[in-house]
Amino acid sequence: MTLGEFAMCIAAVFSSSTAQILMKRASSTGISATGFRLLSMGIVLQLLSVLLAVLVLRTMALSQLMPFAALAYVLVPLGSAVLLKERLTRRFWWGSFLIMSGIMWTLSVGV
Amino acid sequence: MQTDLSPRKRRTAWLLLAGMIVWMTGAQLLFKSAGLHAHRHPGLVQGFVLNVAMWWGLFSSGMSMLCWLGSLRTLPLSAAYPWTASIYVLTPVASAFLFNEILSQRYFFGIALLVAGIFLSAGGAESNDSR
Repeated sequence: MTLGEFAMCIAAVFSSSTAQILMKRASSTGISATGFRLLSMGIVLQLLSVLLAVLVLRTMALSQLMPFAALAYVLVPLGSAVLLKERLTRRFWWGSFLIMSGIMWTLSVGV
Repeated sequence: MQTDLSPRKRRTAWLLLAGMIVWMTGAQLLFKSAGLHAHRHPGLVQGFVLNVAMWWGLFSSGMSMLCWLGSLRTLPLSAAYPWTASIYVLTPVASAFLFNEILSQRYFFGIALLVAGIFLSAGGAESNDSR
């Protein structure tokens, strides 16, 4: 995996995680101009994430990209805790530790 | 939450959850196919705008989202959430068959760590409602 592919994978997962947080925020604001703006930004970021994934999948194996996608299981709750003041449990931290270990393990192994 | 529901509603919810997994796995495979198309056809129009696999992938993602929302109308998030981990097993296996990707035992150990992590963190999912 090249540095460029790695950067695009990270950008794709950050983009989709931010999109999920924006959509969650939009759902709690109800029908309003702010809600519509947040939802639109979320959809644009989700599409950007797909575009980045397709770009990186031109040369990279799908099975190499998949572990990166799991980073969303860590980033979304973390972002929700920081931005939406949601509570994180101890189980989340243990789970995140395993997820991060799995990502690093598959990266070190390659395919 | 599930106790008051009819068996038919519960069955529908589980079928929708299974549908979400199938559509999402399909979407990932279509995006890989779209990537291969973009590699063969450089340029924005040929590689992306006229990329049929990419549009089907987006459609598949949309269907997966609809199935997910439909299943969550009945199932608690803590029950549905761990099953999303199966996407991380099904997709690499399917890509090995369809795109001849070679998967090692060591790779599957990493995937097992990922799946265990998702299952573990799912315990706090209902209260957090973070996905």
